[in-house]
Amino acid sequence: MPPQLSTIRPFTSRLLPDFGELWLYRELVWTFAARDLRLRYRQTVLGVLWVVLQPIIAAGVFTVVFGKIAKLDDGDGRYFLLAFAGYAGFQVFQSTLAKAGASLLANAPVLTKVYFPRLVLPLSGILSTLVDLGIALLVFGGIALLKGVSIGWPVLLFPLWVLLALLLGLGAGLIVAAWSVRFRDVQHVLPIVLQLLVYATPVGYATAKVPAAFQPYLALNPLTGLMDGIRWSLLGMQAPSVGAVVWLCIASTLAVLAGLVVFTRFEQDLADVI
Amino acid sequence: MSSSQFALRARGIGKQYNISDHTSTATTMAEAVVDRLRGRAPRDPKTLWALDDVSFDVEAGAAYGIIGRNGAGKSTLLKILSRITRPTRGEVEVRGRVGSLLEVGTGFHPELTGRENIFLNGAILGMRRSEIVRQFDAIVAFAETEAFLDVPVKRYSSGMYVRLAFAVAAHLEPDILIVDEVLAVGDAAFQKKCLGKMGDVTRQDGRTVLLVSHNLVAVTGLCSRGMLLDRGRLAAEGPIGDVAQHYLASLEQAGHVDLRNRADRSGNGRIRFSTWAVRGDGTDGPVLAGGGATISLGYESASTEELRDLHVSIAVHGALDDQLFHLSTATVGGDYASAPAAGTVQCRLPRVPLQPGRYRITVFATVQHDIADWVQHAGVMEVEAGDFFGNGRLPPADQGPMLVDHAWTLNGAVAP
Repeated sequence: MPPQLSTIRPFTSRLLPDFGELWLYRELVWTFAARDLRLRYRQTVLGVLWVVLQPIIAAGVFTVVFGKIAKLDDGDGRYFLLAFAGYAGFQVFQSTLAKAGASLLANAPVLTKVYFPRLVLPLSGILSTLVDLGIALLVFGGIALLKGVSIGWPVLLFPLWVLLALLLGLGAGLIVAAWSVRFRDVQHVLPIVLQLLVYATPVGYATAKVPAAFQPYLALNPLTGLMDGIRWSLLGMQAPSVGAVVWLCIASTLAVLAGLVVFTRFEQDLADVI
Repeated sequence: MSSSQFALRARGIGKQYNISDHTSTATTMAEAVVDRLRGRAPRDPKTLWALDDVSFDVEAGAAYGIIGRNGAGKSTLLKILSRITRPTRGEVEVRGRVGSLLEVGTGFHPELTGRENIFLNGAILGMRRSEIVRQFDAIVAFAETEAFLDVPVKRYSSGMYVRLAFAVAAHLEPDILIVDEVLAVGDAAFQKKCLGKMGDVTRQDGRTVLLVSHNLVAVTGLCSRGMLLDRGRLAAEGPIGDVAQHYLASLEQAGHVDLRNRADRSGNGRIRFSTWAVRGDGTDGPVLAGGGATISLGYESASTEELRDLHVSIAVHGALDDQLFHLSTATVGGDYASAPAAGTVQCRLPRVPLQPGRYRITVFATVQHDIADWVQHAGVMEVEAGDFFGNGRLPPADQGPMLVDHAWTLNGAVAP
C-alpha cells in the first residue's frame, strides 16, 4: 500500500470535524477513557463505593428537603426513587458536560506535544459517565425491587433518554472546553451555573408539583422533558408530553451541532492559545 | 523506491504568533463582554513571524537535520510538521504517517504502572493497540525495566523513567519520524543506544527521520542533509556538513561579547549576564594551552535586591558543538548563599587543558534554584599553542581537543 498523501494547510473554514479521521483514532478515545477510570479508582480510598454512595446521598437530601420539608411527598413511598432517578439522569448530562468542559485544560501538556483529533478528549469522558450510570442503575434496581415497583415497557426507551442527555451535555461541554482555554473565568462560572440548573430542573421534585404559573418557564428547559421521560421509563410515572420530547430532541441536536462547530473552529489554533 | 520521491515538501510556510501581553487582549469572558459592549476595537495586537517563507524537500528514507539557535523557529517548524499547530501561510505535502516525538513520555501518568504507561504513551504517540502488543517485549527489553513493569512510574528513578519513555518512542513505526532534542536526556550509554536505534530506523527500515538538536555531533552523524534556521528564515539548506559549517561560522561572526542584546536566551531573568570576557595570564595575553586563564562574567538584575543562592556554570564546547567539560560553582567552591544584585563572577583555569583552537562557551545561572539566565554560545575562547606538558610538545591536532596530565612507566620504571 503506498503511503497516504496529505497536506498541511493554514486555517480552514470547515464547520464540522473530520469524522473519518476521528474514526482512525477510536482506540485513543478508549485509551484515555480507560486511563481516567483507572486513576479514579486508584486514587480514592472509597473507590467504587463512592460512586454508589453519591446518588444515594443526593437522593436522600432531595427527599428530605423537597419531600418532607417542602411537603411534596404524596406518601406513596416512592419519593426517594423519584429523586434518585432524577439525580442519576441529571448526572449523565452534568458529568458529560463537566468532563468534556475540563478535558482540554486538564490535558494541556499533551495537546502541545502531540497531534490527534482534539475531539478524542471530550469524547473519552463519556465512558466513565456511563459506568457511573450503570452502577447507579444497579442500586436503583435493587431499591425498586424491594419497594415492589413494577417496571413496564417504557423502560425500553430509557437508552433514548440517556442518549439525549449525553448529546446535550456533550454539546454544552464542547463549547465550555473551547471557551475555558481562552477565557480563564469560564471554569469558575460553570459550577455556579450547574448548581442553579439543578434547582431550575425538576431533579429533586416532580414536574407536576410545580405551580401552574411556573410551568411555562419550566417547559423552556429541555432537561424537564428529560426528567419526565426518565421517570416514565423507570417508575411508570406520567409520560412526558410530545411537545416536551420534541423540544428535548431539537435542543440536544442543536447543542451537539453548535458544540461541534465551536470546537472545530477553535481546535485549529488550540496549541497556540493553551 | 525512486530516489526523487519526497516524504515532505514544504512551500513558503510562515507562522505568525500573537505576542500581545494580557493587558491588550481579553483573557476572561467578562473582559471580552465588556470590550464588546463598549464597542472597543480589538486592542492593537503585536505579532511576530516565528517562521517566514520556509521551503524545503525531504526525500523519503533520508535523515534530515534542522539546526539553529534558540528562538530560530525550529520548534515552531516541528509543531507545524507534526500538525500540532497550523501554519499561517504556505503548505506542506506529506507522504505517509507522521509520528512526532517532541518530548519523551508525553502523557505519562505517575500513578500508572510501567505497563499501563507503555500502552497509554504508545496510543498517544499514534500506535495502534495491536502494534503495542506486538512490540511490547521489545520495548521492555530496550528500556531494561522488566522488574518494574507493574510498579507505578512515580517510584521509578529519573533514569528508568526516561529509558522507558524513550523505549516506547523508539518503537514507533511511522513513515516519517520527527524528533526534537530528546537525545539530550538519559545517560551517555543510553543516548548512544538511542542514536543507534534511530540510525537503524533510516538505514534498514527506509523510514524518514527529521531531527532537531543542539547536538551537532548527533545531527551530523545521523543526517545526510539539513537546514539552518535563523530568526525564522531559512539561512542554509543542503548537505549536512555544509549546513553545520554555516552554523558554526554564524556563531563566530556574532562575537557575543556584549550579552545584553542576546534575545536567544532562556530563564526567568532574575539576573542577566551582561558581558563576557576571557583573558590569559599576563597583560592582554592570549589564552595558551597549559597556561592560566580567567573567564569573567558580568551580570545585572532588574532590582537592587540581594540575590540568594546564586549558582553559575560554564560549559565549554568543541568544534562540532560537542560539550567538552563543565565548570560550576556547585562542584568547586560552592554556590553563593548571597550575592549583590550586580557584579562579576570570575572562573579561573590554572592550566587550560585544551589544544589550540576555537571553543564555544555557554553560560548558565540559577537564583534560588530557578533558572535565571542561560545563554548558549555566549562567546568563543581562542586557545593558542602553549606548553602544557612542560616540554613544549603537544599531541597531533587530530587526536582530540583535550589535554590530560599523565605519566608512563615501562616494567614499573620511569623512563630516564
